[in-house]
Amino acid sequence: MENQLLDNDQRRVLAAVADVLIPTNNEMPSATDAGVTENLIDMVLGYRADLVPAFLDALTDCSGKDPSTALDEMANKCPEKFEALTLLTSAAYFQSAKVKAALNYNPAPRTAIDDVDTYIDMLADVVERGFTIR
Amino acid sequence: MENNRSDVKDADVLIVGAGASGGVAALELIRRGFSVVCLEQGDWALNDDFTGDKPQWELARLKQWNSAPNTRAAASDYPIDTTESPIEPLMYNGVGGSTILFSGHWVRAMPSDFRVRTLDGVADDWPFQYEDLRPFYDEITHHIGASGLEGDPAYPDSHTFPLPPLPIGKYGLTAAKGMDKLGWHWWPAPNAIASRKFKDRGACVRYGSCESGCPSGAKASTDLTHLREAVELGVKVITGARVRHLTINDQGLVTGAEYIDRDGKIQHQAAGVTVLAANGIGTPRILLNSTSTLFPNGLANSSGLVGKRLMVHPYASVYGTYEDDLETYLGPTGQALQSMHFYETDTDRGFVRGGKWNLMPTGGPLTHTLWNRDTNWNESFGPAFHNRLRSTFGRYTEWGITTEDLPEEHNEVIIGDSFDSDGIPAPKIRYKISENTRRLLDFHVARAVEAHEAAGATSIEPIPVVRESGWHLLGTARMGTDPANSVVDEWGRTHDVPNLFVIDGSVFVTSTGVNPTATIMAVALRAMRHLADNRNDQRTAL
Ligand SMILES: Cc1cc2nc3c(=O)[nH]c(=O)nc-3n(C[C@H](O)[C@H](O)[C@H](O)COP(=O)(O)OP(=O)(O)OC[C@H]3O[C@@H](n4cnc5c(N)ncnc54)[C@H](O)[C@@H]3O)c2cc1C
Repeated sequence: MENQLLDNDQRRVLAAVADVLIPTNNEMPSATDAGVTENLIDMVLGYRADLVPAFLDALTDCSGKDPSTALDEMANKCPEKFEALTLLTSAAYFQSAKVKAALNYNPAPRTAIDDVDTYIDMLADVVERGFTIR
Repeated sequence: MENNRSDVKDADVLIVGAGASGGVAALELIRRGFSVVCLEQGDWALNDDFTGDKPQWELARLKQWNSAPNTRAAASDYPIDTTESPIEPLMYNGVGGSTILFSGHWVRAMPSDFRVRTLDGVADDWPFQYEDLRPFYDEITHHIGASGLEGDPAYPDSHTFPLPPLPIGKYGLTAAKGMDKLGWHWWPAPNAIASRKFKDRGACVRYGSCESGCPSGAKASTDLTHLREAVELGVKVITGARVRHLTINDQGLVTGAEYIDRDGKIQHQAAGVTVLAANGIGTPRILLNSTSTLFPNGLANSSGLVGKRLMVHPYASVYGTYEDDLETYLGPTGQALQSMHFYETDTDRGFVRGGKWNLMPTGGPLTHTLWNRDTNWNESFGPAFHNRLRSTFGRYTEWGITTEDLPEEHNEVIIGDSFDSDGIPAPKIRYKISENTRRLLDFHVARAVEAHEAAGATSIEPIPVVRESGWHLLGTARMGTDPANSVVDEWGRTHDVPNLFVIDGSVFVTSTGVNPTATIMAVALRAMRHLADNRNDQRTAL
């Protein structure tokens, strides 16, 4: 694939930390199941070029370490790297069609349908309660 | 949309800033036959520039389309030193000004707002009353295509809207039922967002990205509602033009503005009358940077009040989590409901004045999974990631509270130590939350917790002061009748310089407790109509 910023080693490191950050649970896929370490991470890195250096540094810091220990250390000592890593990993996760389906996320565009009839009777009470205008 | 400099001659009127008030001025003055030039440091934005309909939206709103210029740090932005402020100023610098990013809450001030001294013994009365502004509110509301429902009992008149209200959605209905249990005021909220097609703007399609620009063009930003038409009628909007100071002649009249163009060259735009519409920080910055032998403390500053009395509406958020999926990711953002129940003074509460509440959705999934540096990461990630997401996404709504902060001279915009990318001295703000505001916030937050409880929230998260909430920048060149304690008169004319006007949020005498843009635009229209009506009496520099 073109425009890939990460090499295979970096992708392996990311896979390990990403699944600690976003593990699987009953309803939701893990980060790697959702495809974060495939093209999704490349996509979001393209959206936030300003975060790429901190993100790559974060991967370097995690390389060869137990992911949880590396994350503990980074969150304490280099919060900006931790932020870049977690923000982009989560953002890549939410780009996944599997994740959207699991969340039942049906975003806009949606027609703005008038729903006045659902509350018009309630408004009569609001009007009745009145308001003291000074 | 851009004009070449070679097109541009001396103008009858120069407007600095193409935002909310600048847009109103441009359209009014060109329609009345003036030649008008508008200098704007930013650019035109196209609907397609906004990311609300694109996959990058949630990431871009944290940086490229962030509402804090200090975070965005785009070429059109200038840095603002906020080291002495608990509130971060928010704005957009480009054609449309901050309405490009505004949420569109389209709220009139209340009659009491104009008589705070008389009614509550604090601050000052405005030089005019609600009734004086009412026709201008009506005119602008109908011009921009605001959506809302007539008959809100909180107002003395049943003002009308050209468009029906936007949907309040499942979360709006849930909150309304809670308010009814408590017997508190609520109303389907007025928004400067088209619920149906209006003029050449489409209807809202509920992206919920209003605060990072509207990709469907439904939101009434003034580039769409005023400036396009103004340009068609002949206004020359020069973009990429950052004013560094105004120029004056020996008679103490303003002769126009010196600005830095896109190529970094200094240019001068001459005009008979100059109108500042650069917002509550940009305007005092220009005035304070415009020093001369005649005006050593800055232009129009004989009162010493330029930059003083900054008001920003410290904002509280109270979030409620609900069991059911209430589709709280759907826009508009925009307000679903508003409540004025605790707007007016009740001295038993231990403070004066009050605030306006707005019920809002809470965006896409990424917003709910951001890490807060003050917390252990295990509370946000690992198994907690899914728990947080499950309990908030689609189920989380905000009662936001806009509070009325009173004018205090120590809250101010000054010229700081830094410079913008054109080498122009940049502003600094100094702001402290007063005891009155602190009590007001505490009271309102406690009531909003009760509102969520009554609506059935399963958990409630109050944020007593939101740092990134300085979207209302007011009061730094106040109106008044006495030149000793005000900068401009009720028509926006500066007391010191008869052909210099200020018409943006700077002129507010008090902050009101509502979102200010309807008032800013109504005040600007009233001022510019008066200028046009009285053109024969107007002194000019040309
Ligand atoms: C995220 C956000 C949400 C908001 N939501 C709401 C809401 O729901 N309801 C509401 O009523 N209000 C809201 N507001 C506030 C509203 O946008 C402002 O009150 C309104 O736009 C202010 O109008 P103005 O004319 O004072 O200035 P602006 O609209 O800010 O316009 C000022 C213009 O002047 C230009 N300028 C400044 N300095 C210079 C210079 N030196 N040279 C050239 N050009 C210059 C700027 O680039 C800018 O375009 C919100 C604002 C933000 C940022």
